[in-house]
Amino acid sequence: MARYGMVIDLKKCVRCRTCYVTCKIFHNIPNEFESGHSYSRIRLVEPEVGQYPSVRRFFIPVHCMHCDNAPCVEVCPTGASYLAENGIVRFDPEKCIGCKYCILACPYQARYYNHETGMADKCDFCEDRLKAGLKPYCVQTCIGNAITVGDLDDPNSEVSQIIKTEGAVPLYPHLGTKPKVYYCNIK
Amino acid sequence: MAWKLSRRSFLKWTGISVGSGMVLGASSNELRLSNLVFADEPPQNEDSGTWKHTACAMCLMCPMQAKVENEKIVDVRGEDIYPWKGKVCAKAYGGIWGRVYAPDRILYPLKRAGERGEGKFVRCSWDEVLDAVSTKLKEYINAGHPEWFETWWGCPVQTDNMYFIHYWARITGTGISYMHGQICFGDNTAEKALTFGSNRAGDLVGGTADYVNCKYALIAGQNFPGAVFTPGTTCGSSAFFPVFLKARENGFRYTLVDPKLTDSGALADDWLPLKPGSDAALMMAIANVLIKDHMYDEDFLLTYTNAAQLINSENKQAIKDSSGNYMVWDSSKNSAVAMNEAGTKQGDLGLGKSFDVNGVKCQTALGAWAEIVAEYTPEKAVEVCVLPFTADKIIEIAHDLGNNRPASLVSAGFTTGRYTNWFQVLRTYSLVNLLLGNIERPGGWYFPKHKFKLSSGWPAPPEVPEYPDPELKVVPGPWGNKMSIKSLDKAPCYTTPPKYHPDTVALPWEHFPAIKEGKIKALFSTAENSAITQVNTTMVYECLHQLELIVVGEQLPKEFVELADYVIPEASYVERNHLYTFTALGQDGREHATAMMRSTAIKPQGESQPVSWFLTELGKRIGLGAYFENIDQQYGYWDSMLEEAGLSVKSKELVENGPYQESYPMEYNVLSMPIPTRSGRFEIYSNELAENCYYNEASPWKESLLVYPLPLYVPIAEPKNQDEFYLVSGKATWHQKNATQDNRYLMESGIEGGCPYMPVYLNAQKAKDLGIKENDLIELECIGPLESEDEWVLDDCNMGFKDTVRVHLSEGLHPAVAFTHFAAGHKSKLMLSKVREGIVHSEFVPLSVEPYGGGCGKNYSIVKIKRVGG
Repeated sequence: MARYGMVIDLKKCVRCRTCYVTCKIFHNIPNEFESGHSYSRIRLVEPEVGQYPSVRRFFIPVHCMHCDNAPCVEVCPTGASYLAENGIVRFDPEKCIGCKYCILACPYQARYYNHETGMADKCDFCEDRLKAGLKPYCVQTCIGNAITVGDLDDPNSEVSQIIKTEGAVPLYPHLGTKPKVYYCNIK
Repeated sequence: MAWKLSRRSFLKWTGISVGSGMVLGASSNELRLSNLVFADEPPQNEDSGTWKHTACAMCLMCPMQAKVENEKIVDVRGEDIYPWKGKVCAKAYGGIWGRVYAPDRILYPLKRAGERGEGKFVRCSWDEVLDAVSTKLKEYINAGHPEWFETWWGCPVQTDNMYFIHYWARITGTGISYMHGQICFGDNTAEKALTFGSNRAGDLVGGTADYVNCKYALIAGQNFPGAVFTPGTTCGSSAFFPVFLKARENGFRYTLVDPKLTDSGALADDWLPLKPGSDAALMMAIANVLIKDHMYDEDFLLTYTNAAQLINSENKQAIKDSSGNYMVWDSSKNSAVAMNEAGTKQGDLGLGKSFDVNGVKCQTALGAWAEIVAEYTPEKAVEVCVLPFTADKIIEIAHDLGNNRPASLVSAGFTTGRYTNWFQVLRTYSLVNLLLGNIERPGGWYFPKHKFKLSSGWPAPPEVPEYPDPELKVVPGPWGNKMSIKSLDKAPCYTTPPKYHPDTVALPWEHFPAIKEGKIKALFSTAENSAITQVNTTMVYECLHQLELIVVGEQLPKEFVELADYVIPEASYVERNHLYTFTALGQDGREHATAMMRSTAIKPQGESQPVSWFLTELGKRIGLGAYFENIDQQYGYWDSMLEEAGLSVKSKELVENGPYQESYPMEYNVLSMPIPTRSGRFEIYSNELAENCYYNEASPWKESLLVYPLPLYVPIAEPKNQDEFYLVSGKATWHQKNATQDNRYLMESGIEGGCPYMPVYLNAQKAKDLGIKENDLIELECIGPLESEDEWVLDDCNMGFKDTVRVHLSEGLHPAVAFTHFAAGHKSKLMLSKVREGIVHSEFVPLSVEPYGGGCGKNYSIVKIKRVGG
């Protein structure tokens, strides 16, 4: 059984926002003008650092980290949020009661509350597509081929190789959530 | 995947009853009647549907496949050709789901129901629109003035059959103008034509460079790589990204020169913020270092440029022999000789030297320019450009360019005349490139050798009757089109001497007085929004309100729609056919000559129709049907163009099988085509500027420094006080122009990341000095440039214009600058309300026109800013 993880090589990210838009469209996430809220499974973090003129602007697309020790799983009162055997933190809409504990608990702010459905939502690595042998939408449409999803337990998988050769790291490892989305060449 | 919206959401949001007469109005909810499909099913099987070959048009025209299921587009992807290799960007997706299938898409003809500009319309029939417009046309034709009716068309990749609309104008005798083109790139084309030759202008303007082999570049005034052309094409960044990434793998580095650290420009290795309008001083300082440190390509200069051309040291005019030839100094003969055309190394660069030619003291072109740039030391450039660095930075950049030559380049970008001195700015960039000798060298500027050249495809007798007014002369127009020499955009280019360079694409400032004087009485606008994209919106609106009739073709609401008397629903870019050719430089380091068809992936939605259909129907109603009605707009028109281009592939094959490509290795050859400048060489000293303008007694530009034959730094008006700024605009990667406006997917706050689209940006420290905090409400007031402080400002009637907006503070902005995203703000009440959170940039820009090149100073605005709220 594969244990899915993701690596994003920011050296290949051109900040085109294609991942953001395709995720919204193909997951039918209501846009801000329909719903009055800006929902997204991918949060674009773009901090500016430094003082004029020595300024850098980073660009980090933040997904659900599919943590092995996920706070959202721990706090969920109904088991709607749970870690599957394949490493994906799943969301069961049948069980969600919209309490928002998971949204508050996530240190990556990776989840959002959908006011229309009354439930939480987040990235699921496009699990349906993975099962069908397809790539997640963000991976498929990324122009720079910056995103890779695969089996972290297979040292020869592309994702494992990139993590190793590029020295990719997860975000906030010190929190102990054991996130499975890695980043390299952060700039 | 069908467009999905829950029934509950739809009813909550519309509040409009089906069957009411008022279908588009400012007081209605923003969600309108549309072709929504209420589908609760999950996404279709991956194997279902048909992939059709078409093209995007959200910024330019990337070849795109659209997957169609049950007559609906459910997915898109790039064509699997170089350089796209199956990818397209966010705008392509936003275009389908946020434009083609937008809930407020205009699907039926509309007739104005209130005062012009109120934005109130009722649905009407095509017959009614066609009757109204043809009646007007007949009135003007009978009065002997068909030119009182004018068509304004937009970007060639968004307009339906741009060749046909020019043919239609020719046959009907009506006017036509590529209005926005001149504020897009028009004077850039003119500068490149007179420096490098018209045959090279298009590729240079489009940024066609061998980036895959380039080692270092100074990239100015662009959101690079996010909002630039794919080299060799009129396609957007979707295909430049893979080329850029390959270049980076190969060691390409670049410094962004821009008052703002643009969103993708933050990928640059370095950022050099400079005061707007001061680029020429920076380039001259770089030239100063390159010359002083002998980091120029002497062989290239003597073989391919007129660097050695002799000019009179006193009056700076060219020396000619008795046969009228330009001259160079031949050291072996110790005398001046006729200058050869490019290809033979000839002459003496003459730096620091003077020569006696029949008793006249002379110097070389480069020698004369070197004297000018000697004043522009790196220290002076730091001062003039208000650079936050020491002179060492400029020296470092110059050495980086020089050490990496010819695989190094400087690029001023595509967009046109930002200030009145922009023509000279462009000339300085061009001359630095010539010093580096980077034309047709690996890593430098490149001109694809294998191109499929399209004609305009106009049908001719006996296919159609003899043209009316057979003696009418037509001259080249933009993008391979043809126009009457008498047209407002062309007549001033064919005077003796020409008032404007013939390669300018339009002369917008000729049209507004013409409207005021009643020489233009009716307008049809397609795929453009001159209402707010032309500068000086106050002046533009005054003129537009004077018109007897305004007809606008569009898919989504915008200002011009709001001003229209009739709105016609145009078929979108995936609902009609158009042929394009280009030769892309790929990430594989090869040329890819391409012929492709934008094609009808889905039938036109609602009652929408291509513009070619509308014009054909009009033509029939005014008795000229024989010229139009038998033209096959789907395939026949394009097949004749393919045949003339020497291609055996048919348009139907392109539609069914996708783009046709021929791939070739790059061939670096400076003289792959002649250099059609006056000297037959790339011109350091512009003989055309000298003879047509600066020294020409009959030229209105005589002795204007802005047309001096050697590039100069000419200062522009400046902010004077601490609370005054240059207001400049620039493009975001995901949201760029008319086509991306009013788009639900591209305008969300989530997509903005750290680059909010609507606020005006100020430098964080400067704002603090003014007591302005993040997200405060600020008021901008247009205070300049005034007609009295810059002779090239023709109309400053918008002085005093004020508007308020939220502010975003950034460290990535020059302190002299207030920044707004291009076309962020709108004033149309019909669009998504978010657009009214921004300012309409053009409201703050007075009309200025630079001589000869005709740039319209699209960034030339000075504003006073104060905090008005928290």
